Amino acid sequence: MKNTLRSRMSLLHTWAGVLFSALLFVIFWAGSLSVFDKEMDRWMMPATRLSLTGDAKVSIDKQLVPILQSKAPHAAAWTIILPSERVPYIALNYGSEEARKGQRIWLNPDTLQEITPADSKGASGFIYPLHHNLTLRFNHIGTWIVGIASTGMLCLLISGIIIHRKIFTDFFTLRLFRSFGRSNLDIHNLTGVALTPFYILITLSGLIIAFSTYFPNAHLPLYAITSPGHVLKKDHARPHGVLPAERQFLKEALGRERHKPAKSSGQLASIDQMIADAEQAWGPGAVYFVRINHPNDAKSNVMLRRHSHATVSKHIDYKRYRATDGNPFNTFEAPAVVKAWNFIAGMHYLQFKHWTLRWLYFLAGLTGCAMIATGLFFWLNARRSKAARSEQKHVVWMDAITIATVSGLMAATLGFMLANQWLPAQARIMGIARDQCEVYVFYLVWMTSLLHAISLTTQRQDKAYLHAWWQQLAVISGLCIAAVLSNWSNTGHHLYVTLTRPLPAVAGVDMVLMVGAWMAWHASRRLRAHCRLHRQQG
Amino acid sequence: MSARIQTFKTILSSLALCVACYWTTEQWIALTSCLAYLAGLSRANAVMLAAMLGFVYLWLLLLWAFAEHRVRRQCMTLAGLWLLATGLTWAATLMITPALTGSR
Repeated sequence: MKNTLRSRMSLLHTWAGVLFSALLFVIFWAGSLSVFDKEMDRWMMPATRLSLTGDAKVSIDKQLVPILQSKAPHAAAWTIILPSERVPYIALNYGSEEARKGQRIWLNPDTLQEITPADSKGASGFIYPLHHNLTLRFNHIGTWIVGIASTGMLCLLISGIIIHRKIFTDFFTLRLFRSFGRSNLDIHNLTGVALTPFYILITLSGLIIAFSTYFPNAHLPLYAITSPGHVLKKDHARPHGVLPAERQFLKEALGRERHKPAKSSGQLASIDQMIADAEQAWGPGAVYFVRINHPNDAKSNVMLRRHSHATVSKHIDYKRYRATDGNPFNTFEAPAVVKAWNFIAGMHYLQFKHWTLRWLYFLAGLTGCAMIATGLFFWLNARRSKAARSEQKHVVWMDAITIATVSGLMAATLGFMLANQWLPAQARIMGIARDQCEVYVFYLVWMTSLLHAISLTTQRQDKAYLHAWWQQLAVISGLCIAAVLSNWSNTGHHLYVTLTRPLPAVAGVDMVLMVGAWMAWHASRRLRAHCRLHRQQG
Repeated sequence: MSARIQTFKTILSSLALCVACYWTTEQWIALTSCLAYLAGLSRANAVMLAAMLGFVYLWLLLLWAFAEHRVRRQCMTLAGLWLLATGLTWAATLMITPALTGSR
C-alpha cells in the first residue's frame, strides 16, 4: 500500500473505528436518551408525574424553611430546587459538609405533601452518568475513557471525510434496495456526512465541558506562582485533594468558594425578599436554586442561582446574601471567556426550553448511533467475504461484540426500565437496594445478550450471526411492548390518559417505545425471512 | 511470528504517538495561557481560552501524527514542538511573574 495521506487516514479510520466504535455507540446511545432523561424519570418515578398549574406560589420562608428547620437544623447546607416544567416538584436537600445533598425530600408544589421517594436512579441517575463517565467514578477513570473515545471520534470524523473520494456525489446517493453492503455503506456515508457538524459540535463540547479532568494542569502556569501550598481537601471524586492554585482558579473562573461558619447562632432573614431582589435584576421567576449555607449560624449566607430556560448558556452566575440581615454581599458573573465556555457547555447540556430542538438533538444522536453501527457492519461485511480461515475467528468475535453493543445495549436499557416497573417498592435483594438492583438488571441483560451472540456466532453454520440478530431484535420488540403494558398496568396511565391529562413526558416515552417495538419487529421479521431463504437455497 | 511482532510494534508506536501528542498539547496550553495573559486577558479567562484551544491542538496534532508515515519526522517534530512550547512558556513566565506577584 502506498503511503499517501488517504491510505494513512484510511488505516486510522479503520482501526480507530474498530477500537472505539462499541464504546462510542454506548456513549451516543446513553447521550441520546439523556436528552430526555427528565422525561424518562417521570416514566420511572410515577409519584413525580405532576402537572404544574403555576397557580400556587410557594413561600420559602413560611412553607419550606420550617420543614428544613424541623428535619435538619444543624445541617451544613440546605438546598431548595424550585419546580419547573420538566421537574415538576420541589426538591429539598440537606446534609453534612462532606455530602451537602446527602438527604432529600420531594414535595408536591401544589399541596406541599411529601412525595414518596421513587427508590430508583431513573435515567438522570444512571443513563446520564453512563453517558459521561460509564459509571466508573473512581479517579475519573470513566471520564478519561469517554474522553479518549471522544478524541478518537474527532479523528474518525476528519479521516472519514479525507478518505471519501466522492463525498459530494455520495451525499446525494442512497441506494437502499441494492445489496446489503451497498445500502449499508450509503447509510454510513449519508449519516456521517450530513451530520458531521453536529457530531463535531457534540463531541468537542463534551470534551470542553470536562477540561479540568483532561488538562488538570492547565491553570498551573498562572496560578501556582501566587497560590503555592498543600493539598486542601480530599473527597471521593478527588482522592488526591485540591491544591490551593486550583481552588483559586475555580473561585475566579466558576465562582466556587465556601465561607466558613462563625459557629455562633444567628437569625435567618426573609429568603422570599432575597429572591424578589434577585429577580429584579434577572427577571420574574428566574430563580430556581436556593442554597442556605450554615443555616442558623451568625455567618450564614444564601446563594441564589437562575435557571437557563431562555438561553443556550448554562448559567453559573449567582448572588449571595447575608442570611442574618438579607443584604447582598457577593455577586458572581462569569468572565467573558467563561461565558463562551458556558455557551459551549449549554449546547451540550441542552437545558434550554425548546422542544423542537430537543427532539432534533435526540434524532441526531440516534443518527450518530446508526452511523457508528453501520461503520461496524461495513467492517464486518468486508472481512466476512474475504477473510482467510485463520482470520475468521476475529470476525466471529467482532460479530458477537457488535450484536451485544447494538441490540444488547437496547435490550439492557429496556431491562432497566422493566426492572423499575416490576421490582417491589423498597425491595432489597441479597442486601442490594432496589435502585441498585435496576442497574444490575441492566448489566445482566447486557451480559446475557453477549453470551447469546457468542453462542450463535461461534457456530459453524453459515450466516449464524443473522440468527442472533433477528432473535435479539424480536426480544427488543417484546420488551418495548412489555414496558408500555407494565406502565399501564402499574400506574393506570395508558396512552389515552397521558395524552389527555396531559402527561406529555410519559406519553412521549410510551410512544417512542411503541415506535421502537414496531421497528425492531419489522427488522427481526425481515432478517428471519432472509435466514429462511438462505437455508432453503443452501 | 514476525507478523505478531509487527502488530505489537504498531500498537506500541501508536500509543507512544498519542501520549507524545498529549504531552505536547499540555505544553502548548501552558504557553497559550501565558500569552493570553500577556495580551491582557484575566487569569481565569486566559486559562479557559487555553484549555478550550487545547482540544483543537490535540485533535490537529493527532491527525498530523497519524498522517505522517516517517517515524523520525514524527519524533523530531513532536519533540521540537514540545521544546519550543516549554522554552517559550518559561520565557513568558519570567515576564508575567512580576505582574502576578505584584498584584497579590
